[in-house]
Amino acid sequence: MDPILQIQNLTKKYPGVLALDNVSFDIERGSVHCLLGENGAGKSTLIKILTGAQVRTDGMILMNRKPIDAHTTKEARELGISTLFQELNIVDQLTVEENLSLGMEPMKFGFFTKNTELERMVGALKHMEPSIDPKQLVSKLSVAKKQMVEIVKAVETKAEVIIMDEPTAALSEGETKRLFEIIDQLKQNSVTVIYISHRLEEVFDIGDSVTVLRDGCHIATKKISEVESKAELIRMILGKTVVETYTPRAVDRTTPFIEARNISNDKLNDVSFDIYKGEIAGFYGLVGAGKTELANVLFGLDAYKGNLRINGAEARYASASEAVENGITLAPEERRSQGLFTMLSIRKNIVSMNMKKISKNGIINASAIKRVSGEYVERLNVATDTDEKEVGFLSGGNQQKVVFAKCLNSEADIFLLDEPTRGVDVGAKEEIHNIIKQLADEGRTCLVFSSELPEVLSCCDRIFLMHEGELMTIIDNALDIDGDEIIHIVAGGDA
Amino acid sequence: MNKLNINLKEVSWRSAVKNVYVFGILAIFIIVFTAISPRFIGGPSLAYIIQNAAPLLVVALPATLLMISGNIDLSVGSIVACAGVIMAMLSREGMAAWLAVLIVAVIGMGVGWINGLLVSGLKINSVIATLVMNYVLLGVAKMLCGDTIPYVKGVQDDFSFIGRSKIEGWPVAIFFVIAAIAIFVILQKKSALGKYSFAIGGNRDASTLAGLNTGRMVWILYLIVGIAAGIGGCLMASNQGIGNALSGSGFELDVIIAILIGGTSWAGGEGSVVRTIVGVFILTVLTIGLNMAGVPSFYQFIVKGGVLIAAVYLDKIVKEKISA
Repeated sequence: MDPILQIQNLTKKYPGVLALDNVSFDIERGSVHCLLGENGAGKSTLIKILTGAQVRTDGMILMNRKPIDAHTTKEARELGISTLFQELNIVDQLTVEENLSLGMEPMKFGFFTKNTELERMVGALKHMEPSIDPKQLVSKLSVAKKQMVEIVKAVETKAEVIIMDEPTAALSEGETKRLFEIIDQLKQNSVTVIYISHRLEEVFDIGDSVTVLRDGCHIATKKISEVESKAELIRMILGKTVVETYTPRAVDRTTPFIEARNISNDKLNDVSFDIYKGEIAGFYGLVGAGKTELANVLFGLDAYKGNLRINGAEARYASASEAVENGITLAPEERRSQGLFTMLSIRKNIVSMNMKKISKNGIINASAIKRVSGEYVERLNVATDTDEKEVGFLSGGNQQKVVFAKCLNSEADIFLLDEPTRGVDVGAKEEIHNIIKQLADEGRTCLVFSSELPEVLSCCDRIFLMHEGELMTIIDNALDIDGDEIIHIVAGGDA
Repeated sequence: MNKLNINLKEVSWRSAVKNVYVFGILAIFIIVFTAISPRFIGGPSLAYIIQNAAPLLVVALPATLLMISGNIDLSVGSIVACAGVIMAMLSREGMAAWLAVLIVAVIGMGVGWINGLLVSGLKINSVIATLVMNYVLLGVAKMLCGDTIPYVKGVQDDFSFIGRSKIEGWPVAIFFVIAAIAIFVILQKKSALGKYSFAIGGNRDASTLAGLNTGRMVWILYLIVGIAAGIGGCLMASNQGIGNALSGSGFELDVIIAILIGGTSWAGGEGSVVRTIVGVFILTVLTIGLNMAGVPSFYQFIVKGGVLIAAVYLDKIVKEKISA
């Protein structure tokens, strides 16, 4: 055992959330170490601390048995830790060659001199991917090829550890295979790879060992050869798969309320379904499955081919404001940046979607605002001493309640809820789920778009499984549902 | 194979359009003004156009590099005004013009250093920092002129040499134009600073991660723009024969218009010094042409504004068509 990185009692606290709780494990030199966990399990926090993008609250990181403490990505890189972020760090406007040598060009009097290193790097790139012309602009390359340019740069700058954050998310099958060959080469050169992915097969394909995180805690670190099956991994990732909170609800399934037929655009492929009034429909899939894109189509944000009827009338909205007028509302995935006016008070946020209710002849009535807002704060149990508090100061759960109040106040009867409990702590999650059930009981139709399986299992009547823009299958929720089977389907297996 | 050939042709045709369409606009302007006023082609000699274009050109070329890096300098108008006033004052005291230009260039560099301090050192948004500097320096220029009149007269004979004189039929200003073009085309295409400007403007985070000292690069670009604005101010004052504190008003906009007509991206990362040269001449020909056609100066502002909007819109269309 020769660990290159030793993570010891690592803890990270955000206000209100414990993102990493006393996590310890070792990463062996020259291995491919996979990091698994659901959204919010603490993977990205761990990566951010390793790369210097975040500062830890407590604990230690040893590299080559010496404590390290990187405060910027650049410092981490100088220590030998390179990261392939999902958001690529490459200059589109420069050529491949210029990107490879950027920042390392030898020069004299401010002019570049002959770069012998560059020839070596271009050679390495040619070896890895002969089809990339070093003189071409990076903006013309596919994501996979941009990634390869970054990998070459990372490797050739003597990185000992390369962190890959969902590198295959945007890659085709062939490109993924190519990437795995490259990872193999890296291993042979005793470079360590920390590999993050939602695709479990990949872990078995290339991983040497695996660490699973759940709710900020370290669940296990195992050699892949000691992992019995995919099901075992899934059990570790999800913890308890049996969900006790779901109680079947009576939904009248005679006339469909939302009818989608052959919805397609560049992110969606031939999606058809019916949803009934008062139903909670859970759309579950991994990142990139097309959930947000489907919500955008329903909300009039994205164009589509196919047919969409709501309550019998064609619903092809040219804009979100048209969708709102037709009784649809969206609680977006990015709550702080898209769902709320964080610098305004709770009160002002709640009334923001329905000015008619609080104004007369274009003049806003302050006491009406107070009345409307007070009503919702009480009804949704927003924990605050005053509704004049800035929304930015609230916890995630309370912020989401304000978003719900805002949507409710728009008098919508269709609620599109994109990742409704992301960044919300466990107790508040249940409260949010209860609010969703309450909305549905009152006859509103809720579409929950989630990448958390326990979420759809605990509050949705039917679960719509999505994979790469396609609706794979629809299943009725029940207590004895097989979580492993669901994961198998959304990971691209046969339905 | 056949298909590939066609595609290649298509691509090169498209990039050719991207590079030469600004020249087309320039040609159209020259033809239009010749049609309106037949004196245009014969009347204002090339020398006249160059003398008028020189201050703008000298400043717009380094400002193009600055904009490619994702920054802007709105203080150049007032630097030009201050430069002209200071040069005139030095000349009035009996200093030789060439020495005065040298001193003013150093002062311009100092102003550029302050701009760099504000933007790279104190991390103030470049639009705000240099807009404020423009305001401050306008005050300085007026202060230098004294409280009665906004200009400085009583200069030596050699004051007009660089801006208005000719040597064997060649305007002296053309040497500044040629030098500026040579320096900045080489800087853009060959130097580290030029290449890094594209990298910084294209993706600042990636550049920083690659180990570039992005702040220092931008600071140096401000220094260069400052020096150029000092020299540009001397050219303008010399051409007008006085140091005028108001001569720089609107100059910063002319610089931006010329750069944008040349298709340099406002957001940084893309652009070309060569096409800015064309932009400068389009703007200069337009101004001279409108003057010759007898259009009052207040209409000229309106026309220039329209040209800018048209140019930026056309550039957007051309870029969309090419990338389509």
